[in-house]
Amino acid sequence: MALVRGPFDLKWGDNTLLNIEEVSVDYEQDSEDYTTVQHNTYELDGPIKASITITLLATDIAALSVVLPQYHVNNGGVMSTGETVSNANGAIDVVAQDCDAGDVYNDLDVISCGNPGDVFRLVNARTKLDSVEFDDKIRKIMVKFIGVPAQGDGVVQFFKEGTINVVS
Amino acid sequence: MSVSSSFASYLAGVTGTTLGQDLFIGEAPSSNRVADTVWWIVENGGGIVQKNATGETRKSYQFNVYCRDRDYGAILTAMSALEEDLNCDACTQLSGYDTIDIEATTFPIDNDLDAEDRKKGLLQVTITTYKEC
Repeated sequence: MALVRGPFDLKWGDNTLLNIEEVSVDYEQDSEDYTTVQHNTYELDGPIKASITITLLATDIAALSVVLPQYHVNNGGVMSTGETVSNANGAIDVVAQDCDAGDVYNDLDVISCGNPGDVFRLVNARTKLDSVEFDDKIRKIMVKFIGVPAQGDGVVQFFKEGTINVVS
Repeated sequence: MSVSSSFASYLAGVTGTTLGQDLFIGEAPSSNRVADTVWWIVENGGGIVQKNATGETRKSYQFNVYCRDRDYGAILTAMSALEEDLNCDACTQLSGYDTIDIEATTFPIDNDLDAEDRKKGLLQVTITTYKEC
């Protein structure tokens, strides 16, 4: 047995996410209590929901386009409000999606330091803008990764880096 | 291996020094017996900051790291580089110790006690370890 230590690397698909101040995991499983007339109580578990919210300190367009690709408008593209973008990194235009059309799904891995590291995986996560915070020094943006596993797949996973392989 | 020896070995690697030649534990030799540029560490002790229900402990140790040189600028550069190395190198494990964290704080450079035109820089290092009993 050993401690699993930071600093942690966060990878969403092929992208390594940097400048993260805080990582917060929400994990919830529906459950219901049933009581028998013999005074026994049984707790029956239902579906699981998990999400991870990160607080980004680097919040320029380049950083946001990595975590919110569904809202990214390329250089020369047109914003939802009609303006044309003239910046090499493009722009972020947060528009409600139609039927999840633009959502991007990737596993989000939180990897401990060490070689190999220990991985905590949120399976098949999509992102959304959670909140934006300003103080007099810095802008922070909270992005929420919501696990959307396929039917029958795990919601979160723990494993040693490089030790699980895709079955062909 | 004591935590002082383990930290000294780690420090030798980071600073490019050699234990017993230009890096020492406890105190520095007199200035006429060593090179102008020397490093030494002094352990300030440590103690338990948390004890688990299953007996394992989290301990915090404090070290003073000194650097002596004739050149104020050289000390400033070396101490600044070491401070950044220690505070950024959070994944390091000291030999023989399950190391949770290493943090460094710099202090002003001062005249060395024996003067001789030498200056002395100080860096305070806090090391948190985890120990299974």
